[in-house]
Amino acid sequence: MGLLRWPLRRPRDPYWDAFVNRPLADPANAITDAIRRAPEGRIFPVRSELPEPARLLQDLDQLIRFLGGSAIGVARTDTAFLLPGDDADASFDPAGLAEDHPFTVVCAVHAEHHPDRAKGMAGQHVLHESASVNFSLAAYIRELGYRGTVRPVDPAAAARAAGVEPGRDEYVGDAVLTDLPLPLGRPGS
Amino acid sequence: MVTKDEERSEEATWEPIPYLGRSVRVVGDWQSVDASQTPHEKNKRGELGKPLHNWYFNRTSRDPLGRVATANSSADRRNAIETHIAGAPRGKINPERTEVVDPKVMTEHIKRVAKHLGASDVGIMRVHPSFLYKEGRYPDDGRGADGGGTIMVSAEETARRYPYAIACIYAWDYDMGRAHRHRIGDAAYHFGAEALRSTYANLAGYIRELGYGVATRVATPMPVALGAGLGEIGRHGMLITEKFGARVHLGDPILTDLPLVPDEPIDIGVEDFCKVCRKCANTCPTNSITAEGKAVVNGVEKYKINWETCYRLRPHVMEYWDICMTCVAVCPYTKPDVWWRTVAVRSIKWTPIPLRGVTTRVLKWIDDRFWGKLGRKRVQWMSHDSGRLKLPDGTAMPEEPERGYYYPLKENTRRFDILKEKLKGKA
Repeated sequence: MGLLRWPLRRPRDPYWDAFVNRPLADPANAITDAIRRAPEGRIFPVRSELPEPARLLQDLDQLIRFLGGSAIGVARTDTAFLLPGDDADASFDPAGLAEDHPFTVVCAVHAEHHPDRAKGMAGQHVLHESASVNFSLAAYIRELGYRGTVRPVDPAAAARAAGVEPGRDEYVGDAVLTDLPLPLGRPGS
Repeated sequence: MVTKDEERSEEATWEPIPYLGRSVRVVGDWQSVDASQTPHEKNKRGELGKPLHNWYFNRTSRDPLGRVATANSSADRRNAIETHIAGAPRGKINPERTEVVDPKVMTEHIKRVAKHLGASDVGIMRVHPSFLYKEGRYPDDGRGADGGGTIMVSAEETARRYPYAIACIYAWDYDMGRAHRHRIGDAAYHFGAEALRSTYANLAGYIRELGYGVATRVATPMPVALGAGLGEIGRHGMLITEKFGARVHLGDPILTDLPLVPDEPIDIGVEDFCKVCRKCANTCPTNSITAEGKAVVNGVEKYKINWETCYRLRPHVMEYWDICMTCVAVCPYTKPDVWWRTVAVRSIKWTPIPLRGVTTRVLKWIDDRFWGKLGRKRVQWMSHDSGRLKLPDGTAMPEEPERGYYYPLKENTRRFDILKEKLKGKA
């Protein structure tokens, strides 16, 4: 097989390793932080007519896949997996958050390179994908007339609670906390 | 201080406008486009009338997803990701510049990076001042010269500083695009634009990380895309690509001083196909696409689009949808990226030019037969269904089981009147 594949092999890219692994000289050269720290918009004052909760979760599943996500799951918000943000202050109130946002929506995204190991642009791009999916999902929930906020969570604990089992090439970052009435678990489960 | 003579001698150093493929022909004096005279800019100043001005600044989509998809349709701009991508701070150029030994290898690398960051295809072109907007621009996205001063530079100076343009395209979902003139098509269009915007922003950031300069919002996208070999321009004035047809976003090309190797324009038979097809002209709801031959516009021979009738439609339909895109959806080149499409495109591409008329007629006949002259299709996505329509007054229209709704417009309702007028004229 090796000989057969030989003519089809991609020529060596001497810059690829730096793209994957070399840390950014200026983090502002990736727009991930701008999205993660983006101020949240208002909740739309008129609540939309919603389909059945199970159907609604299927809709969100279709939406996040369209936006670049690979899996979605819902857990009941647990103070145990909520984490303070990067700029955490005394106002971090896990119990209050859990009360206002009874559901936590966990989204996984495809990750060719894991951001914890690959510190270059390619690795950090996974964070960008995750932040973009979470941002748009939370914004959509707010436009439906419900609370939706992106918060840092313990990804392993939140994903386990939501029934999402990220594979080797998947990544879970922050999660969306909401009061949108959703069924627990994965769509169709 | 540059004297007039020096300026003239600098102007004289530019080569003639490069070849952009068979679909356009530069026949006269091509003046750079004045960005302040483009449709959105005119509309922002209120020059296109109150309804359009109001549509641009004060609309709020009835669809929750529509309010997230684009800032201009939002109730709160902070809920649209576009707002935050556009406002993201630009990073600094890495002082440790990556040495480029072989520009060809770097070109392959940059294309691979752009695709990794989300581009559907990428092309490189050598910059010519004619492709840049007319007035002087700040070199780096209006934020000052490479993050420094605030001196504006001319198109010629920009072209000298940044000799290469990188053009990326993003192809929107084929099935969702078939529900154009519907919220589903709007989502495909708007989120596609956002995806391309973030691809460009990250690619620009990566080039700065390599230690090279970048200029954005200075080049007109279409000539760059043609010169970079991404496709050819169709009768509908849209870029037609080999893989995706016309269902692509072009976005704002990046100019850079990173040493690259330019691509060549391609020939996929658009020039020959558009002569015969006219599907977009026949279906355009506003009759904005000519069914006649080409005209010379700004020194370039191409099909002339009546942008004003196309643009003026928007406030009249915003209760139902945002984006028309009938011309893109009906274009026979717009198909899923599958083997039979590749065979069809290559059959035109590989036919000698004098014989292409026959091939295109056969393919047009097949397209009409299998996809229909109007190409209508019912699409369901999320809780949207293009086969069910509820009017703003609450009236539910009967279900369209096969074709889906494209309400409130019909395809080019004036085309038969025009034909009658022409026949009368001949008589």
